[in-house]
Amino acid sequence: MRARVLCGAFVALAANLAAQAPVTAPAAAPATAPSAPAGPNRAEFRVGGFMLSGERSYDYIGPKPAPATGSTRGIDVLLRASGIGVSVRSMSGTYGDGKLKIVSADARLLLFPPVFTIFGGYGKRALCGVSCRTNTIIMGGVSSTVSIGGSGLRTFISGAMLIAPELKSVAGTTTGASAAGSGIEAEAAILYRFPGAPLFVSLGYRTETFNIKATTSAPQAPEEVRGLRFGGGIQFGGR
Amino acid sequence: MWVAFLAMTAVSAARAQSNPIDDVIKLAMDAYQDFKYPTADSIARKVLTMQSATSAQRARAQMVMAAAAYPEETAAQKLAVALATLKQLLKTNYDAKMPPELTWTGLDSLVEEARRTTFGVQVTGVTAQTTVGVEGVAKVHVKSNKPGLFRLIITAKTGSAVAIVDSISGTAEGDITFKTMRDEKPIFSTGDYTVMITAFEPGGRGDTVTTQFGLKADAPILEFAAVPAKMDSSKLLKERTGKFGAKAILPALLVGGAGFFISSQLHGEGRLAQGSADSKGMGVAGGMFAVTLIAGFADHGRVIPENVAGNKAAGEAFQKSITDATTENRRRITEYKTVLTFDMGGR
Repeated sequence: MRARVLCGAFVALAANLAAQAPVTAPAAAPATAPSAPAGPNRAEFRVGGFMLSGERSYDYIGPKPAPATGSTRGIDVLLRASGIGVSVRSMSGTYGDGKLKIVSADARLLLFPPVFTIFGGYGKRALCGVSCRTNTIIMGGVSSTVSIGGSGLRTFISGAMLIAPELKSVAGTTTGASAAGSGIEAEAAILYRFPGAPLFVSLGYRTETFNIKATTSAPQAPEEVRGLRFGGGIQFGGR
Repeated sequence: MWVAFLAMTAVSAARAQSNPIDDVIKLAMDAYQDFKYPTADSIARKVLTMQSATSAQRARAQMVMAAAAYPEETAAQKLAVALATLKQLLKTNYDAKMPPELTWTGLDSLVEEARRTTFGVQVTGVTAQTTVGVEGVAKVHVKSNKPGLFRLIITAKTGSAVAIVDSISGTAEGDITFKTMRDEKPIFSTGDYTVMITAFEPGGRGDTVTTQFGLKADAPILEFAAVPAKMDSSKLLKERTGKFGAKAILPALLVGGAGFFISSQLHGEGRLAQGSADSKGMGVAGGMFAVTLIAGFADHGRVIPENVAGNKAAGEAFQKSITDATTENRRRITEYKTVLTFDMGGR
């Protein structure tokens, strides 16, 4: 499955590059006049909030339970120049009867232009019920943002692999110990920036699967959180 | 002996510098002084036949003829001839006065009678003039013994083009003014011109009197800075990128397809792989596809601020070039000078 996802993501990004290329061509201009800059490569600062309305599926000991509906709320901050940028995200969701919370936060380093970006990041993910199971996450992936001309609309697709290494506890205690895990995060969205105002809204779909591997004291715990993603915020710069 | 030699040298030099026609007139006047009236008349008439004689010399010759025709000696008086000569003289020399060596009381009375009974014109007050700038006005002063219509025509001595035509009417004395600039360009070019003033006597006998003299114009070429008339649109930059149009199909397919894939195919590990597709997600995927497609075809291109600013700057530079050229041309016009030198003795 992961191979299919990553392969599909790369194919999509390659196609996106092809689609973006004509858009970024500078306008024909005489040598004496300033020429148009190439493509959506202006510096961008974006702060937004979002809400994920969907469901959480999980597998645990016993018969497979029905997906639990719920929502996740979060904040996303992006700061990027033409070839490099950083992104910070924090979100917290509640599903089912409200006793289960999923909290995560991560920071990512973005490389290359928005139309084809490779990113890597570091974060924490906690699944809290009666007690919390916390994982340290290392992530890597690709994303692509394509501006649809001067319409203010942008398409965004992203795919990443999440890896949670097994961590030993501090000697003599259980503090800091976490099981190994891995997962996938994928998102597709459109963003619209209002003309004449530094505001944007977004609509998309997001899914995140995460599988904590079995340990001697706990079984494997695969889960998936997916749903519609609504967002909005302020944006300066960018296309 | 030395004194005599110096006197002869001085006389020779004076003769060498004097005009031959003036010498002839002096001969006529000498003959008049010697009471040889027919001789004086004959010599003076020869001056009138000389092509090179100026109007001033002709006037003096006519005075000698009038004086010879009406001397104090009664037997030699020819009243009709004298009166006709004086009328002819006063037509173009209304203010003419007989020199003391030629006149006497009776002749003065005859001059006054001629002045009363003929339509005479005097052109005076014309000197070298400098005309400056747009005003560019020069003038010729005319005076006559009765109101009339005065028409001024200035033509180049070479060629037939009329440079100036102007007129003044209904007054016995006044200035005929004319511009040396027209449409902010100098009319004259450097060269010689003939000024002709024709005076028309209103009503009565309707006499017409014409007097003419020379004019030398020193008019350097006035060059103007080129004022750009139209901006070169080919140098303007495109202010928008091209329409996105059909190029939106691919991003629409990608974002829609990705949404579809995520919501329907991508599921978690292990037993979660049996999960079903999310119909809401598929709906959103379709919506993203449609919206992207519509946005692409509705797109008018992205504004290129740098090019907009560049075009604005080019437009401002164009306006400034017009203003600068116009200001420069105005300065040149203001500082431009045409110097007109009137030669009243010339023809």
